Amino acid sequence: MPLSHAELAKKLEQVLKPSSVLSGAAAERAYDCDAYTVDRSNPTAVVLPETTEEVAKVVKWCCENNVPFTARGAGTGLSGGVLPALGGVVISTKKMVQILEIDVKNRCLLTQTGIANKRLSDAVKQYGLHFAPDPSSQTVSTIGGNIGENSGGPHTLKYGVTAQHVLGVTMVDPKGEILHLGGKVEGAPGYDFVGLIVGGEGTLGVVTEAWVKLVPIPKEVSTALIAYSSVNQATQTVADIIAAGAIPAALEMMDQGILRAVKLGFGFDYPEGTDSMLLIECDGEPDAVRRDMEIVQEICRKNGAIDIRVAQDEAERARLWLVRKKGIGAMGRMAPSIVTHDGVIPRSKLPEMLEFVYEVARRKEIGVANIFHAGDGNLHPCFYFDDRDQDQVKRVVEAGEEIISRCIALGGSVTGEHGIGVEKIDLMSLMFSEADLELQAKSKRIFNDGMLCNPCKVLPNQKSCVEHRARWRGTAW
Amino acid sequence: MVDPQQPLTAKTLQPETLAEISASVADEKGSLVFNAGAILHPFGMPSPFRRMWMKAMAQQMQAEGFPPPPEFQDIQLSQDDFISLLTTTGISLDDYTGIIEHDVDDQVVVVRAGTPLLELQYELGQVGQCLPIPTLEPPQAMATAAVYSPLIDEIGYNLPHGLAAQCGSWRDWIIGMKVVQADGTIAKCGSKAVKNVAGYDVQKLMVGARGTLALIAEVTLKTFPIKALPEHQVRFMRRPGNRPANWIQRTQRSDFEAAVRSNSEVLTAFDSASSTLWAVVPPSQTLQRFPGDWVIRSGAGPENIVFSDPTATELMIRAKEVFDPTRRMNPGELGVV
Ligand SMILES: Cc1cc2nc3c(=O)[nH]c(=O)nc-3n(C[C@H](O)[C@H](O)[C@H](O)COP(=O)(O)OP(=O)(O)OC[C@H]3O[C@@H](n4cnc5c(N)ncnc54)[C@H](O)[C@@H]3O)c2cc1C
Repeated sequence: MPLSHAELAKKLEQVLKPSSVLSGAAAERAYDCDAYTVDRSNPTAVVLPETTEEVAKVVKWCCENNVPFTARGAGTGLSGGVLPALGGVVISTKKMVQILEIDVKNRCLLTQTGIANKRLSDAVKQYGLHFAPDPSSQTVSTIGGNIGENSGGPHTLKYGVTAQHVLGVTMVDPKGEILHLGGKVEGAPGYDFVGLIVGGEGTLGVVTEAWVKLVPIPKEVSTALIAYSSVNQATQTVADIIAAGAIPAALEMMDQGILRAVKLGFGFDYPEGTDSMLLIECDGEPDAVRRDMEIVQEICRKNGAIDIRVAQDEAERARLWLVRKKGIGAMGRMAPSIVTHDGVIPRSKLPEMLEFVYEVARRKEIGVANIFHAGDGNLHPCFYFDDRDQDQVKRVVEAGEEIISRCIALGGSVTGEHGIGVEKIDLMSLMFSEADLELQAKSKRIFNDGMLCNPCKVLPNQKSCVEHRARWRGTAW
Repeated sequence: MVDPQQPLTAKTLQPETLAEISASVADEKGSLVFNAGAILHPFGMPSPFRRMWMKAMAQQMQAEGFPPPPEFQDIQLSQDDFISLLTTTGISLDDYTGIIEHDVDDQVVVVRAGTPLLELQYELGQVGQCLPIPTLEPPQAMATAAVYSPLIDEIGYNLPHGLAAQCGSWRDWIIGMKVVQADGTIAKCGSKAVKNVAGYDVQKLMVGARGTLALIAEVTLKTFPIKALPEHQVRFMRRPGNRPANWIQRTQRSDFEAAVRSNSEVLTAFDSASSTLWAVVPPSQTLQRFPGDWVIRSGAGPENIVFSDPTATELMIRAKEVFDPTRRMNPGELGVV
């Protein structure tokens, strides 16, 4: 006989202290999904451990009692990674927020994984260092979640994704054993387990502590916002900058749909006739930044830029970033619902892909705006529509499928940073053959060959999992 | 019976297509040793196949009037070695070379893993691109143990290079891979997109695995514009003669100065940016070790690679069981697996 929710919570209160266990309708509602709200599933109980040992106790208990468990950070994930698909215990890292050691000399720190990304950089700013991965959610999203999703951000182009910044982890494996993997010295011989765990979406164990790299804060930062009268000019600029070898720290693009929304929402002004904008940031040594910015501006002009604004101070820099940072939020004003996608294509295919996105939107008669990490070829087409109209919903679903399929056909990926979770699980077989998926399944089996640790994520066709085949792709607000 | 006077008699196949590689792996029954043609990677582990190869090399060098290096001399093959060699097949990717696809604008290249690194560098260089591994002149290459072997070995052995701190290493450049698994099945991971989080990063597991989990057949790599390449900061020492470095050590930044100072007699090169040092160290000796550091060696037998952490060792064995249950892929090449 399975335990009732209340009974299970009572048992867990014997494993951890009662104040570290949440149960009941409110807790179940609060922990039934992440920022991908389309799919939901109630947990049986939620635990808030404070240490690695407490996590290990909970996982061991779950194993002994055959109860599924799922690690959860801030719940800002965009693919349903934290949804307790088969119920069971949500292990929240909310109380695991300590920085345990700062090693300035070796430019790294050891932290518990429930801490928000931004707090790491805040803690080491005084030493002229920062933690480079900067997902837009960085004020809330946790290091554990960043590790789970191998998150990127606007500055990924130059600094790389989370995988490039995690040196070692302490992880409670799916059997409840505590593993210390990797360490402060990079590149050690042996299998790169840390590289596999980063991006493992919480299916390989619960990461409780991590050694992460710290990078010197760049001495100089120069930010420019460039306006174009055609999208093609902007995409060509992206290709030319990459080819020129001047690797900007950030290279972001917004099309007219986004610009209109930011104008409406935040009074952001842009030159008459603007069809798209690039936000380009160069950082590093002052001389190099000046040189790179000159190269960048020359390329922009050559491609027909109608306006180039270079920030003269920090306040202006923040204003220029506004259009990128508030872009998606501003879309919320355009229609009752929006859905943002996360596809990747080889970056030279940007013009072709963008044209395709517009064509799909026209054909399906839905509004679309585009904002993306152009330097990485990571697009976030954003459809706006009215979700009370079932026909519109159907067309949005179809549009999403077409776009993601085109990303695969162009040699890209179904996700650049939001992960597979439950959202894209059925798309995995469009990108990977059965043999490819089995190869991935093998790497998962090194750590997890059961159905208890974050089941029903990443790999399709898992036992007892319900897979939805016709839902909105991406995130809905 | 293998004739000790006729080394290199263990069967060696040189497949020319992916299908042939797959068939070679599937059809051969015993152990498989992936090598780059006639050369075995100097940082590999002792094995019957390696002993056989070293003996052959020593004989060849002697015949040509060169004294073989000490570790190549007096190699005896045991009865067990012979038995093992009877059931070992070498698979060389020497005939599986060349670029499959190079998207110059995307700075992405898909290449067969038998391609020598320098050949790939040359091809990429034609369009102003490269992999950010410095190509050094022979004395400096020897000082940093740079082998410039085919990609299958470069990736498999994953040795430090002079721009690791500035530009990363194979784990950062490989965005996709095709492998042939222990049963011959071909599978791919990753994609041609420079950013991708679809599924598990299996390719990272293959980097540095020395072919013990699967045979790397093709790789998709990010390339770098040559003009954006930073200068490496490796310092070369004139000592100690013309032997290639056989000791590679990386320490924490905080210990590096002390490591360089205490080993200055035997150092061939050091890179402060990545806290890596290269040295020539006799097989029976070791240099001072520091907390959290790691070492890989060449010519020191089982000491070439030592895993002291029981957790990592146990996991490595587990990974081997999952990927290669009959332990036939490059057995022993990574010490415990
Ligand atoms: C407004 C907004 C902006 C965003 N911007 C970006 C962006 O720029 N770039 C980007 O990449 N993403 C972005 N995201 C997505 C999301 O913020 C990231 O995926 C983030 O890393 C998730 O962190 P989290 O703490 O919220 O993790 P959660 O959502 O709680 O969890 C995410 C996944 O990680 C696993 N996990 C969590 N903690 C652990 C742990 N300790 N051990 C093992 N697994 C764990 C979970 O099981 C789950 O699979 C954005 C989201 C929002 C809502």
